[in-house]
Amino acid sequence: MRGLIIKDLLFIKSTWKNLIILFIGSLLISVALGNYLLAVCSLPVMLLSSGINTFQTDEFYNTESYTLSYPLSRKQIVLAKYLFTIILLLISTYIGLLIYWLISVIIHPGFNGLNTDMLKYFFMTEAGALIVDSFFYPVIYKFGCEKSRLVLMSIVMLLLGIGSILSVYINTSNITLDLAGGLNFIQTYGLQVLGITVTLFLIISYILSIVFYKHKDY
Amino acid sequence: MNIEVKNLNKSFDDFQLKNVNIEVPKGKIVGLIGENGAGKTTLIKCILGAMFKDSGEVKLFNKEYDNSLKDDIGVVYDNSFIIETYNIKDLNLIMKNIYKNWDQKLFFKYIEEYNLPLKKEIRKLSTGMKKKLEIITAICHHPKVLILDEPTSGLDPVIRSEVLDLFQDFVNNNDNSILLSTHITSDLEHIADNVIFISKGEIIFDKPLKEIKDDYIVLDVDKEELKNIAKKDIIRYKENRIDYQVLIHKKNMKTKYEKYIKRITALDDIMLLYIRGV
Repeated sequence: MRGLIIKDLLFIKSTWKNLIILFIGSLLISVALGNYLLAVCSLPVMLLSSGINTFQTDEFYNTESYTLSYPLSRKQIVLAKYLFTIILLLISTYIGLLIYWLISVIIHPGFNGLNTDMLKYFFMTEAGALIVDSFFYPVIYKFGCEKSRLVLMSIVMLLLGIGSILSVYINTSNITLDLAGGLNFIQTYGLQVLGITVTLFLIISYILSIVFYKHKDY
Repeated sequence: MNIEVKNLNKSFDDFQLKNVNIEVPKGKIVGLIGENGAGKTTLIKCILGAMFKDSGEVKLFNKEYDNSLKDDIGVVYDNSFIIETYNIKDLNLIMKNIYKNWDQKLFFKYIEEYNLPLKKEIRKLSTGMKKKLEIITAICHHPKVLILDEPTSGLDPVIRSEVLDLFQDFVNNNDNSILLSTHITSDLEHIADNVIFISKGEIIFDKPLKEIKDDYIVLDVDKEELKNIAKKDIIRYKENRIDYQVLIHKKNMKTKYEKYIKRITALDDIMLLYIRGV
């Protein structure tokens, strides 16, 4: 299983030039705007979305048949992908905090006022990227990379449709939403709730991936 | 027995493997031949667990199928390998973390012997180099069985001969064996002990190569001469532009047919007549 994680990490290593170029681009935009959120968040998000890219690369090089010839169970193969994602999360957190530190200490010493919010946004961005991964992984295991794009697009359209119907329903009925209370709750417990939500998403995603992968022919 | 497949069935919408039975004994090279889409790769994938069988039994090393047994199997597939942006050092790093018995020394010995560049991306290697690398990678964890799907396709005769030597060395200890699927039947005529012929998902024959050579004969005849051959003696025949090729069992050979034998029967002839003949 370690071999598969190393295989995916080597893929990230092989894309480091692209990641650096994108990071420099986002840093320049941040400097121009005087807001460093983009610089702090961009590289971690790019790293976390690389998990999906490894699926595409595997499909492009048709490596799945080989992977299934290794002395590993299908469950171990799926687990390797999720462990790789968690390693990406750790790397992205480390890099994000390092960039944050570099900006607040070296590039922009008077940056302290924004620190707490900046970190919150950073963790929220990471959580968002992980939730996207959690959606994508089982869908890719079920349908492959090409079809999964269509499936996810359909899901997004469906959610947008449901959202639109709900908003029309709320507007036309006498339901009042306590938005201020909701915002307060998010301010106070937002990160904890997000952490729990992401963990749940990952666990459900992992279980679904195993179910789909266990029954798929390659 | 290193591989044993019994009554294997696998159905798709437009294709079916039907009651496939094969055996790959210790110390033998078994060739698997058949036209494109005959079911060779499907059979291999069912043996390796990349595809699920509908029914039947696959035994490896006389044991019920288990993932851990794959430590003793080396595989080369046609048209796929590791991600090709990696180099040979990366490949070694991955493989030593996948196989318990990965032999790094042996791997780099072969790499040196075949002059493969360590730091060049795999996609930048020539077809022959890539194929050699795939084969080396398949044997460096000391497997007992090699399962090879078109391992020599796209190789020039010199490299093919080197690769075939490598296969022969592999089975020299009498414990190892190879299941070799190929279109290049002349390769099999050099190294195979047994040949399995599969067509449209069914095994047509599974025999020692020598027996096949002794068993079949191909006659080249024109339209008039074809009438002289008894219908019951003909297994298959095929019309060419100016003549006919007729496949018969050697036991049915009669003195009057002898003048029609024009060349030595090759596996290719037999396969072609079974597939395209009537």
